[in-house]
Amino acid sequence: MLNLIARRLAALIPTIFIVTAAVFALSLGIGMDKAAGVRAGDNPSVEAMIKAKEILGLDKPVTTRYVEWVERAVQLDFGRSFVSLEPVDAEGGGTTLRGISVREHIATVFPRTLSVTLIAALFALLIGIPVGIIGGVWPGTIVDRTSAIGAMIGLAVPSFWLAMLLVSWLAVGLGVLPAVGYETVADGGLWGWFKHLIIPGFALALGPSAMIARQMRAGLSDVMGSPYIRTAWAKGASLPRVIFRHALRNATSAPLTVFALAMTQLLGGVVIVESLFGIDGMGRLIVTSVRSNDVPMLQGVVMVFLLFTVTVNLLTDIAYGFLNPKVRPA
Amino acid sequence: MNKRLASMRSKIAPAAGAAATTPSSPARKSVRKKFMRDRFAVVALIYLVLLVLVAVFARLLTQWQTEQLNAGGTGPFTGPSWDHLLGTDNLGRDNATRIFAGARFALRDAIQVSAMTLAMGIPVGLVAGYRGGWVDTIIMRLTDAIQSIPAIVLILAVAQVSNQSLQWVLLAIAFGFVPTIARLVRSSTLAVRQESFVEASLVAGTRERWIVLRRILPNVLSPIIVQATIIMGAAIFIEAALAIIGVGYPVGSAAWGAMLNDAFTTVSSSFWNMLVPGMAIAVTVLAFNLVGDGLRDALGVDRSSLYGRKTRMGLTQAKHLRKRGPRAASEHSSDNLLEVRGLSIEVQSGDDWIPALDNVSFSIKPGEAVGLVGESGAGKTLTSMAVMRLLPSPPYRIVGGEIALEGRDILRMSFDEVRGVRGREIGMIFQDPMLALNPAYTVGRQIAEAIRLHEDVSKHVAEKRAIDLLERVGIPDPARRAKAYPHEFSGGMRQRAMIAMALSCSPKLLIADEPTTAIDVTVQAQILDMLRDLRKEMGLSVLLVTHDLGVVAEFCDRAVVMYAGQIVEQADTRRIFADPVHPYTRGLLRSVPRMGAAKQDFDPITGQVPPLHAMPAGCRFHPRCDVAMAECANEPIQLQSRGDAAARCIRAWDNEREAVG
Repeated sequence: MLNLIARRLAALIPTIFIVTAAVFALSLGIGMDKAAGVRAGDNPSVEAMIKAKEILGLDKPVTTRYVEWVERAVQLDFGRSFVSLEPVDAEGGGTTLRGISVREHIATVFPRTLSVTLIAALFALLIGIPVGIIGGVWPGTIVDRTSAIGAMIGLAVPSFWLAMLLVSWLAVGLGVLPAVGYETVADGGLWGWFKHLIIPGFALALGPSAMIARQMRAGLSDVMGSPYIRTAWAKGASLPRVIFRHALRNATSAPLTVFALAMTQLLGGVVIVESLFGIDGMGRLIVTSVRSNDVPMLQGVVMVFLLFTVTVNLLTDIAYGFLNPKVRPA
Repeated sequence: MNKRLASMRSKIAPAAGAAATTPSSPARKSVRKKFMRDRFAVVALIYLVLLVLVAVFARLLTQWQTEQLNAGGTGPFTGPSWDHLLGTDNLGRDNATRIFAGARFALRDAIQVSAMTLAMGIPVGLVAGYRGGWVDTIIMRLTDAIQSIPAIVLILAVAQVSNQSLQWVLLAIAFGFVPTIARLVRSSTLAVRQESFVEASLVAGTRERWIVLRRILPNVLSPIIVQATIIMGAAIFIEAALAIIGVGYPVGSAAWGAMLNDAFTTVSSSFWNMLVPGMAIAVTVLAFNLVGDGLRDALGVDRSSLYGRKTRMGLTQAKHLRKRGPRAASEHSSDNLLEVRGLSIEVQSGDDWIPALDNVSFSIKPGEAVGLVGESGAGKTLTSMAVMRLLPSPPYRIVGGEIALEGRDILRMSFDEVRGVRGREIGMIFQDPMLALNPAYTVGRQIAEAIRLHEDVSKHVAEKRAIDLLERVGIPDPARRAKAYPHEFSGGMRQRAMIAMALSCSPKLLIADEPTTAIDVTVQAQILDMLRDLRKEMGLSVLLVTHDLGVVAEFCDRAVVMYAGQIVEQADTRRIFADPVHPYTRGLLRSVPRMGAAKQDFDPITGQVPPLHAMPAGCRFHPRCDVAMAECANEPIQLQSRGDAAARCIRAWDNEREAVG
């Protein structure tokens, strides 16, 4: 198993190299001059601009900056925000302003997005797997046809629209769930945390759950026709036993793949849903840092998402190993 | 060289024609026919055509302007009316006018994104697949990298740098889809390139490259069309999402996403206004997906269809008996372990039910081994599966007969009763040991499961017994092998493990369906020897399904010969070999090559078993029979018994009957 993980990680090295280069290139593309301008204030003088560039480290050559950036990035140090400032004690007494730490800011923001994502993942599995199982075990029945049509619709209904409708119905209309915001477990308890995530989580889960259901159904109906399932019947196994012991485990690799893919692609939905629900998470942070040319913040966010993607893919590979003994080195 | 090229071209041309959807009209016709059969896709296509018309003639369809405030003095948030078919929004603008204008934006942009994706993806894929080597590696790594950066980041960054230019945003959206198309084209190009004649033509220069291209494009055309359709839907989806946060289309514009955003900011008063643009987005995306799926099926891109045939697994339906009375078989002669009487099975084909097994009767005594012999398609596997009610329903259903196991009719049992028989009273082994064991569990665990399904023993005890069983079927080092997975076993070992599993609850009857067919010849004999020993040891009855008369001769007390869904002859093994009555049996015996036999004695039957839907009238064998007479084709021949033996032939025991009559 360790061997497998090591191999997967090694295969990632070129990807990581390209992505870090691309993320660093953001700082070139997005216009550090603009950022320096923001820093230097309205109508800056030439001296002020030079000083601002010096503070931001823009006076050094690109290659040096890249190497320095990677060195710090591997320690998850993405520098300080160009835009969000905090007061600190100045050397000569009094206070001065400096950018807030990207790492610290992300550390407070990331759990919110992770919460939304995890709840969405949970809902996606809770809906997608049972629907897929029913379709796969009883293909062609009314239940299966209904769920197939449901999955088609689920793939087409935009998460942001569903979120809006649910807010309008459950939050504004019935008032049973909060319309916006986020509460930490520490502030609002487990229920307070969860109830803020129900609508955004469900809205985000719909598309992935439809994908999972389709793959689960396809995989399961294939497996149900296989010789080893016939063997299980011939042993005298009951229907639940055949499904849950013998078929499911061999039918999960395709739904697992789309689940992992859906999780890594949730970000697009998170950006919209977080701004609809006023959740100050990573999605909103991307939007604000792009809009304000806050390059270090954006680089930090993207790198964290890269890390998230890599982690999800690695966990998926490990899960394959558990599900399929052939992948597992003896 | 020219000659070679010409021949190459002629080889390429028909292949390309067959694969392509465009050139030959019959192919195109069948695609259209298949597509038209998918009702959802047809409705979706009609919707899209209407949407295009609406988009083109948007300005002529209503009397209002998209940005006309309080159009017609109606005021904000009115519901549907004659003046405003879809009501008005928060500023009193006419919803219908704005939705139609939005359709224009959505479709125009969707087509653009799709076209840009193809324009970038196809060349990249072609280059990667055609050049191969390091070029391919670099391109593939790049696409990996693109896919691991969240697409939204790129889009937002591009929007920012380009000062919210819609064209650039669309390009960024398209960029996100490039890897999908590039991979598709690349794999197809690789496949074509690896065909040797294309390799050869590579040497000859640019003209031949053109040939390669012509060979590749038809192959990838179908999947590309499908993908392009789905990308259009996805583009509309993404564009709407971006418009909500004011990217691509500014807040307040008549794009569908922007309209949604307007409605959401006044959420308490405008459920209707949220419904309308949302429906427009959802239905349009759905339509593109449905058309994409329809094309996928019609073009044969992916043959696994979304809608499967209805199948009930686990228990064959016994239609004729569903409502009828007693659970006991009609008559039970106590010396038979299993009696199959008048078993008839039908198979579904389209909307019709075709007879697949006709009135099959035979019996097995305790300790007896009966061979079920015949060519493939004779119905022997069908018979053996029916005994355990393992045939899936549909397509199969049992329409008549009885299967009495010690006097209890299996066809009248409930699912739970049948489960009690399976594994405990009747064990079964199958033809393909490579696939008959579950790949996810160790062999020992699967055998232990068979035990624990029927006996109330602890896991530990069951696993111990599994090891004993493995030893008994001749697997060396059984304690270690029990912990191994099926893929770590050889074919012969797997069949031994299957036998151990089938015998784990000491059943009275073992059904063995071609147990040695898929196994190395050298191992076949060992397996049969082992089965014979086990039979003696356990007093086991065996129903052996095989096409191999040699196996019957070696193993069985009695043989039942089947042809085209009927029993044609049954008798003692010795008698079948010494004095076959039915011409088919004689033909089977002649088709076994024997050492030392004269050449003219080896004389296989010509022709094939007739398909189920085209059974010949009269004797089903007469078209292939070398002694057929005119009467043979007249009416179905009945099985005639004579003592223990029976045969289904008009000439059966002719001489003796004459003597009697």
